[in-house]
Amino acid sequence: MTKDIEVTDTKKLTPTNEAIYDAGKLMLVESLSSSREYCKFMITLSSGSIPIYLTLLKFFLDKNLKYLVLNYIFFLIPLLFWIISIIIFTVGYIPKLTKISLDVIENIEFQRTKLIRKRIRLNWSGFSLFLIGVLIASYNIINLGFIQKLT
Amino acid sequence: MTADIKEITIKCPICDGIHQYALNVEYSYTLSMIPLTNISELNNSIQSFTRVFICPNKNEKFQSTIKFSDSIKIDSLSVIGIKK
Repeated sequence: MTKDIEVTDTKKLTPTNEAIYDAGKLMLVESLSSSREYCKFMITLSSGSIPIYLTLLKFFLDKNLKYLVLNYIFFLIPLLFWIISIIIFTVGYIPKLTKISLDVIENIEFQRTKLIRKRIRLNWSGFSLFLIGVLIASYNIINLGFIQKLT
Repeated sequence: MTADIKEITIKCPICDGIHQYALNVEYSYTLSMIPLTNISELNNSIQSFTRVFICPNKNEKFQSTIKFSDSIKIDSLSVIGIKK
């Protein structure tokens, strides 16, 4: 199948390639902790969004107007999305019990990849719900704050 | 994708010794989508890969370019380990 293998240009690692190699090592080592840090960050962000939104809602709700129950439900929907996203990020942050053998490299790689993939799925689900909550909350605030005042 | 183990010998730039390394070569299923009139281009194609190797004597890294004069497209090439 292979006719010829030629080894050429053998030299000490160039500074650029050395830096790229070190960056690759860092990516490999930190891939687990970075996804966990993201979960931690998003838990804080989602939790912080709730009181901010409630404060804005209280500020912009017209006390003279009588809102329907449906209106109140729609005002509270972002909170539901944020609470579910907090739960999802918390599940992603919880440490998992796994058995690995340091002698078997394939086993470590398999468990590592499995954990990273699980966290990526949870992070994307949580982020999507958080984003939907933000969009609905923004719509509510803009609707209450500006459109109602114009009409 | 089919894989093959190849052995290469490199003169180490770190310790000036000769080391043998095992490479895992993964070939692609499809050769290439080229017309018959250009088939000679495929036979003459050289695929080159630059990889990082570790000197077993000094435990330092060095790089080398491996060129394959092969008609079959190589998807990936990785260094498995040191033979001696």
